[in-house]
Amino acid sequence: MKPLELMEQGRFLGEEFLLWLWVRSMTEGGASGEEGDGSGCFVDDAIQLTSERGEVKEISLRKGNPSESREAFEALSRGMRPSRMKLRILSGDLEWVFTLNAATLDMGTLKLPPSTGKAPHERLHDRLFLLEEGAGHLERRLKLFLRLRSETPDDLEEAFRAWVLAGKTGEALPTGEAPWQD
Amino acid sequence: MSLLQGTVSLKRFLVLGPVPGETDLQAGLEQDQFRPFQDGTEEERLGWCDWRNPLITPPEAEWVSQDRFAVFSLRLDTRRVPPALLKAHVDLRLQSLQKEKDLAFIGKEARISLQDEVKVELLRKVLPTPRIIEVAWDLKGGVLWTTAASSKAQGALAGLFIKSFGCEIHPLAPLVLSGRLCPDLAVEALMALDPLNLELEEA
Repeated sequence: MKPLELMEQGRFLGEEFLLWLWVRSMTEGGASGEEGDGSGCFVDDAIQLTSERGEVKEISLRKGNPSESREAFEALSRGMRPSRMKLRILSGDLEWVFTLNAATLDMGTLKLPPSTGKAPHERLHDRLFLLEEGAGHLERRLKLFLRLRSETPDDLEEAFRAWVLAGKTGEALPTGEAPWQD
Repeated sequence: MSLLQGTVSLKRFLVLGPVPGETDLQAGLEQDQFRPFQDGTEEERLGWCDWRNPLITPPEAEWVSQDRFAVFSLRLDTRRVPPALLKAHVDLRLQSLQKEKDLAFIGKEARISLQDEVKVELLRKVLPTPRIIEVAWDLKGGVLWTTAASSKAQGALAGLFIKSFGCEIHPLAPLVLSGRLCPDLAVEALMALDPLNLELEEA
């Protein structure tokens, strides 16, 4: 199979992984679920949702708090899926901010934690280490997601649907109420 | 955007093929090092250069080797004569040729040859536009990190990579990465999965 076909075939897995990160960002404080891992992964201020059906094929929600917005949950309930999402990973004092693409799992406009190296090769070593650390945090989560996705797909589907439904009414939000209902 | 500073957009590839030793790696980098444009109508050039400075070619061995990584850059130069400028120069040259030789008409072949001649002259005056794509090859892990963002740059990288080192590179997209992270989950089984139905209402 050609690389492009392989990428296209796996796109849905990437989209569902983004959704899983979104759910955990809101319900589990961004924890990976792996024992001993104190890192957190949160949805930042940009989400792009896409759909092959319907009148609207793509929605970009930016600035403010799109992950808790009515528009986001309505789009999800209509079957739109996250195709790109800005994420923030925190681990101790370190922070990575980047845009994750569902189809390729590329990290775009990645902002790494500051490097302490002064000489070019020291800076390079620092940044390569930080790159791998950041990717490691993401891959740990992907591994857990894949396990759930392949072993208990029905449970995962049900959990996602319940969360979207709860999000529409505001129950999935940290405050338990939807700001748009006032 | 760069591996060395600021924000960076990264793509990862899985490297398939035997990992070259230090000597073969350096030989590949030297063989396909970036070489500047010479005379001619060539508009694109590409080749390897040092990660510290694109003018250092071939990449210096002691700087390429960084722990378990091989770090170097792909330099892609383009030079173009703006079409409107080329046409203007060719038109003037045709007019003066017609006057000089007292010709009523200049044939197609002569026009094309004149256009090529003018293009070569103008290309000599055009400064190339370089694009630098950084590459960090994890030789032990078999993964390539790169700043190649466009499909054109990725294609150029893949093409030169196989030529220089005899290794293919494949994007680490979800299915490939999944197979790597969870070797006990068969990629075929993941490919056979259906997307979850998350739609609660009609679109």
